[in-house]
Amino acid sequence: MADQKFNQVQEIISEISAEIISTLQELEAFKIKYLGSKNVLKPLFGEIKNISNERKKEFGNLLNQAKNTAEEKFNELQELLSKSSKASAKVDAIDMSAPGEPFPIGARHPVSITMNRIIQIFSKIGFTIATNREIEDEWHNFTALNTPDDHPARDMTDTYYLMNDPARMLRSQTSTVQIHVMESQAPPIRIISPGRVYRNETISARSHCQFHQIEGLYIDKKVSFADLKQTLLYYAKEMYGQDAKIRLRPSYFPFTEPSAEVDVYWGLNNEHDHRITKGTGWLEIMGCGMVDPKVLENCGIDPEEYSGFAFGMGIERQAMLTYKITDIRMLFENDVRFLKQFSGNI
Amino acid sequence: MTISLEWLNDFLTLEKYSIDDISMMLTDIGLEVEDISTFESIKGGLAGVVIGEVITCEKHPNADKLSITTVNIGHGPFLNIVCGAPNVAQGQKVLVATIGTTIHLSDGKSFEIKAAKIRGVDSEGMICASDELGLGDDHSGIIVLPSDVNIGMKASEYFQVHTDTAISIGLTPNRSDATCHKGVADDLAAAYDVRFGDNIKKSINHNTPEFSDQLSAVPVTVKNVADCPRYTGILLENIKIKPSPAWMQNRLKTIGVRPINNVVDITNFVLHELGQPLHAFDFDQIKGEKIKVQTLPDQTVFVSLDGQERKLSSNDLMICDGEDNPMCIAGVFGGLSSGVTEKTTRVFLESAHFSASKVRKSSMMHNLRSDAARIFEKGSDPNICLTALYRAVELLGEYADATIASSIVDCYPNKMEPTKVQLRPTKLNDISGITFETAVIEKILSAMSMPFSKESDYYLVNVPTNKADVTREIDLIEEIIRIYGMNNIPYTDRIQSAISFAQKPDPHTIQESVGNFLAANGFLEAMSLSIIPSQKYANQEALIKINNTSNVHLDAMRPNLEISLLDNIAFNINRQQTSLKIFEFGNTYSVNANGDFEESQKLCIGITGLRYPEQWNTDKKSKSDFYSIKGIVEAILSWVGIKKLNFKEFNDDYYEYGLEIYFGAKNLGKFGAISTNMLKANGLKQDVYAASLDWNAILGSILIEPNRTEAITKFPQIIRDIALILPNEINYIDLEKEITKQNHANIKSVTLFDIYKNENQLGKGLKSYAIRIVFEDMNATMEDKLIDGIMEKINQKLSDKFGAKLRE
Repeated sequence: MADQKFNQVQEIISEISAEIISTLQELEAFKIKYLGSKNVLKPLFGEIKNISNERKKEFGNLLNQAKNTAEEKFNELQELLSKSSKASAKVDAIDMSAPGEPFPIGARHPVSITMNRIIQIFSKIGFTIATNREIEDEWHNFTALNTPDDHPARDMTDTYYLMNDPARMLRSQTSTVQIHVMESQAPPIRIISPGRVYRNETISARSHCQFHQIEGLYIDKKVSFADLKQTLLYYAKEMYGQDAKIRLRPSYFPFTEPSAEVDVYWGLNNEHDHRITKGTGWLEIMGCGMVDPKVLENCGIDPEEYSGFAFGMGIERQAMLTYKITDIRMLFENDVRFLKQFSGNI
Repeated sequence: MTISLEWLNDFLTLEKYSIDDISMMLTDIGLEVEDISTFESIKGGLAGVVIGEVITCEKHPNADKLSITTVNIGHGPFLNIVCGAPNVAQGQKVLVATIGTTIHLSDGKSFEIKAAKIRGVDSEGMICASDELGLGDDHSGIIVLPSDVNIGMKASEYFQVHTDTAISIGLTPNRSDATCHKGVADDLAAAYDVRFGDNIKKSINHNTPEFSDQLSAVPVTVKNVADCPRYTGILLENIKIKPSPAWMQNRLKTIGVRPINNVVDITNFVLHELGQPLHAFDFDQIKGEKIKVQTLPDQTVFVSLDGQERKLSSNDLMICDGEDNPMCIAGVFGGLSSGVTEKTTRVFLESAHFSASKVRKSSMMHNLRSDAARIFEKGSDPNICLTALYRAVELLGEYADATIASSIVDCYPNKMEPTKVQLRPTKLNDISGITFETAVIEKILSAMSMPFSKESDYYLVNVPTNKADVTREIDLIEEIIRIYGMNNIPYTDRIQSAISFAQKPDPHTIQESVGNFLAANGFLEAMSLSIIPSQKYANQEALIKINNTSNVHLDAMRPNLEISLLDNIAFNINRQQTSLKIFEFGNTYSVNANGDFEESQKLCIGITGLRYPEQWNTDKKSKSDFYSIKGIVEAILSWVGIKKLNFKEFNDDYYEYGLEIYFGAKNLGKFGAISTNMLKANGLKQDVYAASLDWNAILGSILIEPNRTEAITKFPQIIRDIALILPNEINYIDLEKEITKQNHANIKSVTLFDIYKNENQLGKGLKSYAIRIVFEDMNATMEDKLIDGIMEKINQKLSDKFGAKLRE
């Protein structure tokens, strides 16, 4: 019981500090609430008699502290606010509270902001940007990436083929850029490739036929799975905070071996967390793996001399998490009332 | 894929691990657990339902069809229950749902039993009919139990409700070894063994059925050995078709397979237990009592088990009878005529191995995604065919009274041997990043049942034939890392990097800078779909079209960004947002004159509506105009250091009028007023000004070398203003160029600071421009006389060339 009373006073003290007052009217209301004849501390002073003797003094001190905090704040603000009233009295003609000259600021798109954030993180550890075309051929989108025609892995992506030329398609992943780079450049290779990709999927709140990915690739002598893990951990800490933890789940991608999905520990603090982590507390953030030797060979790189890792993630998913966007369609609808909300996110 | 925990326990001793432990381990070895749910053979498990005896039963005074009963449920006071069933009577043993029980109706709805007053009489429970308990569909009356059952017994005990845990696993395409309970069990056992030294495998002995040498085999001809490397089968007779035993039905229901009859259930059971699809043919429907595995001519008609008539392709591998009638698409789906029915007494049971790609092609072509197809297309194990056949024969003998009527036929001309794969510990260490001890490597190989021999600096490993995806050293390394645990590999203590150089100028840095510049100047960044409805563009020939089956109206790639921009502006104006400043970075796509596909990155900007927000200190009437778009375009180009532009007038379908921008001879894009036609087509009633900049041309025009600074003069500037009257058709830029030409060295800037148009005052076809010229000199104060001389020259030139007269 006594603890409850102590807590009550503590709460009032923090309330007093948190009050934001910018006009004399607000200051008057503050005075009535904390210092007036029916102030909120009064009933608590009445409680002193119910507190056990050994804690009476402590409780009294706490109450006085509350009262003093309120008095100090009142005095400071009274001085400040009456000063400014006086100053403006000299120049009655100017209502300084009227809005200033408008300088409307716009906003970057949440996908751009998120993409740039991820690029910044990897740029710091020496990844440079590579981009390439979106209209692809079979070789770059599938074959070179070790996805043979009759393999179930082709089910993993529903691809848009061109009516003009059925041998061409819209890329279904940014991994195509890896192939272009490895075909044209000798190792070491250390790139990230952001870009737009397409899947033949019905547009809904949860999935879209267009989205963005960012993919990383590092090829060098003696690049190991442990190196990959360190890079992923670094990313997770930059993105989710210094205490971020990750775990890997073995998975399958045709172009990496071994392959894994990466989860970051998100926590289980509320309903939203349960939903997005399927009740596990772990949130899937990307796929990764060691570049399959077949892919290296396909690009003319000797897998006995070089090894490497690759990772890739979806940008929209991350943007939706960051900004608590519940419908992916919002991202491409361009409602300015939505876009304006990203002012101040840089 | 769903796995039953009880079924796993057939193979493993899992008691000491909680379902969470098991689930975490499964996920950790690449068998991602997506969901765990409780299976109850009766929904709700009959919780809260007890057996009671009807002690009294009287007619309800206020309702003809209701009875008032008192029921003894063995504990507590007798319950008053109002019952609507016509068959309720004193002395019956009945099932009572007590207060708090949730009733699950067969239509999926549920409700909770509460104490209630029914027509004025208290009711403290419900006497149940079979449909109310999930025991059947009968709602004609309450269930009456035999008189010798014990009052107070729980219904769940009486009906022996079976519960199990269903573990749903997202199986990746590379796991041909884990398509069944045994496979999952083996993988789990290996991980527990390696990580905890805990051997949880149970030894299982199934009885091999006794086969008589006296019987002949059913003749089988395999014409396409490459697509059907193995075909085994046996004839069974005296079969009695009936429901399969409850335990088997429960196992199947747990994993989401609907029980049908004992024969079908047993084939499904073996499939999910051992990962080998079986097929049961009604032997009496096999004409010629022979099996042929072959392809049939294109367009041959085949009626599949679901009653659908399908046209076969000559690529479909078919199981046919002696007269070449198709009975089954091999490994994919059975036929209607040869399927097992209630009348079946003789069954030919097939256990075969088909090529993964063949099965996949047929399965995709006919859109028949059966469990069998899913297993075969991952690459099943040909060496398990007989084991599965034995298991099925054993079960059919027990649960379908089947007796063996033939010997086993086994067409397996080229036995598949385990793949021999070299494993170099050095490579394993290089790829994993840790040093594996020899003992650990050997332990893992043994735990995965991979016999190996140790050579000088490598292991020669025999990979079992159930791991179709493990054929190379790297695959073996993956298996080892997986079982060892990816999360057990430590992080390196530093980040290894390599030197790599960014493109100069760096496109991303410049895009970010321009994007931020625009945002800081009040523009919102849009991002639109690259895919548009083709009818939005006039020139269909230039469009790149796609097979959009999921969103049929989006069938072409956008040939310009103005389409997206106008769409966005219309969308927002329809939502009362009428003053807009928008930009978008994006690609355009088209077919060029040579028929090649072109992608090009553009920056598109659009402005419409009021110039300033409506506020006390702004000009609320001022609307954006051509000079708004011109201003921002020039600002962007200045921002990235591109100055000294040339412009050329143009118009096209999209622009009523506008300017093309040139840097030297390079076209950087265009801007102007959107055409009336386009405004109309988009339902727009207000003017829109837009720009489309060619991003690659801009990148190519940016100087990589930084600007050199110029010295600043110590001497004062001299300013001279002139007001000119000149013909309307004269362009300001020509005046500016002419003025500058007269004294490059000293003219610091030329500014058009006023335009005055009033033909009544100025004369027809004339306008007035006020121009400010700023002079300065590096070495001296410029004398008035000198400047007067220059001004005179300027005035003369402007008069001669443009007919410009000084305004008095």
